[in-house]
Amino acid sequence: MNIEIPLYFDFSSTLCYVAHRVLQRLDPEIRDLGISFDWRPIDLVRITGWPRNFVVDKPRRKDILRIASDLGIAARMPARWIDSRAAHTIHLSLRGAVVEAAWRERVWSAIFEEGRLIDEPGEIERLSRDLRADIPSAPRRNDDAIDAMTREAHIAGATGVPTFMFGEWPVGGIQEDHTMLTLLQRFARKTERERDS
Amino acid sequence: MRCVIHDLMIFDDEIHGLRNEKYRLEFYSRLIDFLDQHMKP
Repeated sequence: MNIEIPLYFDFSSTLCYVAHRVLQRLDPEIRDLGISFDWRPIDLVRITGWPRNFVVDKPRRKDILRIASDLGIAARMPARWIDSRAAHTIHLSLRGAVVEAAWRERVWSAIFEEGRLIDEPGEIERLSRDLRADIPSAPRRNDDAIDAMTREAHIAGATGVPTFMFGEWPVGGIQEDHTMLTLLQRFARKTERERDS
Repeated sequence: MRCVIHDLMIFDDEIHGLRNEKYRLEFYSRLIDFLDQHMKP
């Protein structure tokens, strides 16, 4: 059985990076359930109203890094909320292609492992070249497509990222491995039953 | 429709997250309710 779960994310989000890593280590179990994720990039500041490039305050930063640490993920969290729209534009252009997952990996490792700020001049082009794949090196930013995806997420009930859509239910955040697998197993069984009936 | 679980995990105050027992209990209680109400196999 193939079950696709929409997953709204923002490259700027440390919790999304943590989710990316947690889902990677759970990949064998998730595949066994027949589940895959449809990664949908959104511009989170359009939902939260945060100013672009805002500096993440200390308590919030501490909280997020604590959650990352609790889940066993080391992350170099940027001091400010970086503008991810150029990276999202490329992700959208790669939707469904084999290289889509490689692009997520490249962008996230650049930000949260190498400490690079992807909204600085030339960074996106350098990351595109790193992949040596058929990726436009400097595409025109597609704000309309990103806004449309962000609106879709907002209407679906997403208030933050990552948000997993379990059918009509938006489930936000990344949880411990066992909790994530329990949620996914329940959803898989429910979907299977609904398809059989 | 509000996001189901997100708000319990982050941003309320400094002593939050998986290690905080109060929030941990609250989180799992809400998670069980969600599974019972909407994710019944």
